[in-house]
Amino acid sequence: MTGRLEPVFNELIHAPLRLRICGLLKSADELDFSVLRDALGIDDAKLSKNLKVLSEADLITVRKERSAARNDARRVTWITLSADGRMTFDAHVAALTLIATGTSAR
Amino acid sequence: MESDFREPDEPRLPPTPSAEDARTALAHLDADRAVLAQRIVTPWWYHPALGLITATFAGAHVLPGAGALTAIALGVVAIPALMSLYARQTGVVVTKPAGPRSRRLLGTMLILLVAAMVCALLFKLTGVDPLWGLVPAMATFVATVILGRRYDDALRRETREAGTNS
Repeated sequence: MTGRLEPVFNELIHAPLRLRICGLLKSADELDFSVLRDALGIDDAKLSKNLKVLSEADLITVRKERSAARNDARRVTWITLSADGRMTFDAHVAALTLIATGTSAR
Repeated sequence: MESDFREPDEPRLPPTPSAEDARTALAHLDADRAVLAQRIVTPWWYHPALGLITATFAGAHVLPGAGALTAIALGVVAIPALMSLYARQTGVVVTKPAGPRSRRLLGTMLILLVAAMVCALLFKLTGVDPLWGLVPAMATFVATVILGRRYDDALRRETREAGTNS
């Protein structure tokens, strides 16, 4: 990353599950839906709802891929943190770090 | 604004968290990263398969006629196929190094591959027995398997230990 990161608190990302989703996605290029679900220990519906919120805010992208390992029409769903999502997450974490260390953010 | 993004079963969060809440949120991110790092486990067959592909690249130049071009074309097709298979098995796609050690190991692998290719090309230009091409090919296979496994270890460790803003 170039330049200094401006800490910006983001209420949409700050919801605990959404923050954790972005944190997991930050460490990889793409994650399968089931990997995210298992890492967070939540059910499909809850993850889907939160992914929809993040996707509508253009913070993540969702891509579906046909699975040769499955006989039915189900697909593998890959999730990526978008460039905007990465910047927003980094700025939010910088703000959280300031708050955690007792320095004001925003 | 906040209620627009809040699920019905989500706890209502204060607009700005306390220092304690911020520390807890950051600790969750660290814990999640450690969980994800455990999942970056390459199947046993991945590095030998990748080694065969890189060995093909390294040794292809000594093949006569269109053999070299065919071998390289097969390698070019095989790499994305192998990566796709790996991604589907693990559910995780990580294509970039996560820190300085994994970056160094990847750089070393690439340098060795180029050196092996140059070596094979020199064998061809000097007209030595094509069987000598097996030497850089074998060296590339061994280096890919050994360094590839070290790369995975480094990637796991650096993913686990990475600062949230790294």
